[in-house]
Amino acid sequence: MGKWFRWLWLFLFIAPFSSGWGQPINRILIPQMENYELDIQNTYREYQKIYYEKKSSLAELRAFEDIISIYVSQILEIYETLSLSGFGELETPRDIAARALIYRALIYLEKAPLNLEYFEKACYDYYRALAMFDNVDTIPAIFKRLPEPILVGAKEYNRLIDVIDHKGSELYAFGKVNLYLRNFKITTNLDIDNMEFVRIECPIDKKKYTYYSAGNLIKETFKKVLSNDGQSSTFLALPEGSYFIRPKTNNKASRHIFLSALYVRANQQHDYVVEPLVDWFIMYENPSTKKPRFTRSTTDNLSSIEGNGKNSKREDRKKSSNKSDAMEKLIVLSEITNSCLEKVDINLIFNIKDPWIRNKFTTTVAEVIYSQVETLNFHNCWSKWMLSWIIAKEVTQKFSPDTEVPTELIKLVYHCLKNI
Amino acid sequence: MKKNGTFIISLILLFALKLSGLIAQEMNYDNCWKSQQYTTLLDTMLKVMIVPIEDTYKQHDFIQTFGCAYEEDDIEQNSIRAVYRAIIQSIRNRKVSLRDDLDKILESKPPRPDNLAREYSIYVNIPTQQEPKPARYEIKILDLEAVATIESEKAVWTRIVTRFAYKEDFNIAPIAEHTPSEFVNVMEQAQIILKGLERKKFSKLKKMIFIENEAIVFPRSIAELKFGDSMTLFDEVDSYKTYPGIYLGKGIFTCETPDDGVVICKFGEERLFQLRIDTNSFRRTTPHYAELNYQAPESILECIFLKFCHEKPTRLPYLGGIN
Repeated sequence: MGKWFRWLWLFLFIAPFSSGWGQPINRILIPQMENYELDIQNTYREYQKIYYEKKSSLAELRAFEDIISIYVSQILEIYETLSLSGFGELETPRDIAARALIYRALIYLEKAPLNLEYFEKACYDYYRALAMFDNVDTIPAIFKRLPEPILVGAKEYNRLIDVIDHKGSELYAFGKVNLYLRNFKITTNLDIDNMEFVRIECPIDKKKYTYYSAGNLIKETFKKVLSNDGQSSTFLALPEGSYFIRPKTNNKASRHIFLSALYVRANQQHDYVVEPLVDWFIMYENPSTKKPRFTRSTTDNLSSIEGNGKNSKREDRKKSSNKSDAMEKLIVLSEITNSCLEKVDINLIFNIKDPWIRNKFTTTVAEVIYSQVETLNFHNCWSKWMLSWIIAKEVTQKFSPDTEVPTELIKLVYHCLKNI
Repeated sequence: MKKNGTFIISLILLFALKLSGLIAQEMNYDNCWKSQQYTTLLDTMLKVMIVPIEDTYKQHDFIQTFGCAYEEDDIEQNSIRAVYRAIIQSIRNRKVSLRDDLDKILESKPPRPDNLAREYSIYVNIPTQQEPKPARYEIKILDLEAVATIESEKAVWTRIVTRFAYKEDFNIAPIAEHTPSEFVNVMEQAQIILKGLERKKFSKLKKMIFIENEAIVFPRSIAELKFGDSMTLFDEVDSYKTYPGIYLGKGIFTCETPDDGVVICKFGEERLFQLRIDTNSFRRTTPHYAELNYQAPESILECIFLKFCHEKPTRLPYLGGIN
């Protein structure tokens, strides 16, 4: 009896400690992140109040921006700690971190009409938030339902994408440029401090968005490259246009500008590789365009290599069998949509349980995807999730106008796009 | 009157000088393969490859091969590459295969024009009816010289002699060929292509890389692309319209365009002409450049690229609003 009692006592003594040791770090840190997020939401609400109602001074607004930046950096630090520690799922902390960045972007967007530099700042936060989902298949936080709805102006929003859609259309005037520096060697002769990043001025540019951060970011990346095994990377948020890097001392007609030119189109992502070339460097894009698979066949391949754009066999065939070709593609797309329906919760997409309605729904999705794939959006949209959002909006408009775009529908379109 | 005459003559002289200056400026990119200071590495190689193998070596079953390199901005690295190419040529000529990691051997004891690392010993596999037989292989570097050429100021060429260390291995090995350097042949072919490109002779280039042949390799990304690989570009607005393109190196390629004829671009510039690269369409129809790891000289690529860059638009065409 005494022996049993000793064991029981030992168990009772050790149990609280063992549960303390076993408690994962994320159980402590995630609630902390959630608290900070709540603070950010409150600050955002206050910011709107003092901006629109009290018409406060810029200094006061600045103070609010600083406060929100502190919360954001705290959240990002915790997120980094969690991702480095490798404890548990990263989905919740990633979502909180992304939302925090989007909130700050929204604050910057409020003030941007007064100071155009804030569009650029907002863009960096927006891109950073979306980049967190670059290598994962989970839906970005921006499309997910918020833990608590937020009040923007007089309207309540349940998802950040709806707020961005309403307030952040100016963000789409920028393009994202990912720079990957590689193959730089210790012998590479570059005067980094003597470089300047310049935009080719064009009279058709409507609004003079800024690109102040780009120059410094490029210099920092170049400085890192030699201490980092010849490789380094960064990303830039640049308004649409053409840019180049040149040595400050050389004149404008320097040959360097042609080698280091980069071209940015609005609302697109460009991956640029930077490599040394003779005594300077070359910046070239890493092409990512793939023609949709359902438009390719063996015969396509042959004619495309031979083609000169004017009398290719493909074009002749296009004229004769345009309709049947389109029908064929629509059937393929409908099949893809049908198979992808299994990957999402169809109960959350309108009311499509009835076979006839379901059939009509898949046809509508296929038609809208087809119309987008055949237009510029397919090649120009910089993220499959963003394109899914555009398509899902159009499907909602056709299928159930004046309702919120279902998140599951965005997921469905994303899976379809991945399969073509 | 005399004063006026002198004035006019001096004006004409001044104008002529100015004009010659301007021409000289443009001449930099007029002929990428011409230089007042340097000759091409190919010319250098064609001269040195005439040198016959010494009788002493010939009598002792040595064979002579050549190698050269210009890719790196470093004489030591180029020396390693040049010797590597010469040894690999010798291995090909003997119809044997490498057993050792040649790269590591050369890196650990790098050959340089100014040091005394001149002899190496490696192991090769001699093909036999049964299992391949390992054999020791002797390498002697007879010449290793750094030369400033149009391709690179730090180019290196080498002449080596090689043989089996033991007579019995020599006796069972296949009869050796005496090709001095296949790499030089490839360099010659590539030089013709690059010279043709300076005059935008795209059809000649298409013939030389057998663009219509069946592909032997399908590179999956630009990182896998080698000189002479082909690709398809399609119109951004009407994706049915396609145009051929050929990769040259360092992100530079040449292609046909809807309205501007043949252009030489870096990746991303095709969009200036309303085109997109279909990354599913990368094809290799000629294996030689990839097999011998040929890379077009950076100086030539830069020159060809810059030669025509003034003709390009500076801004992407407007294709309508994007949601």
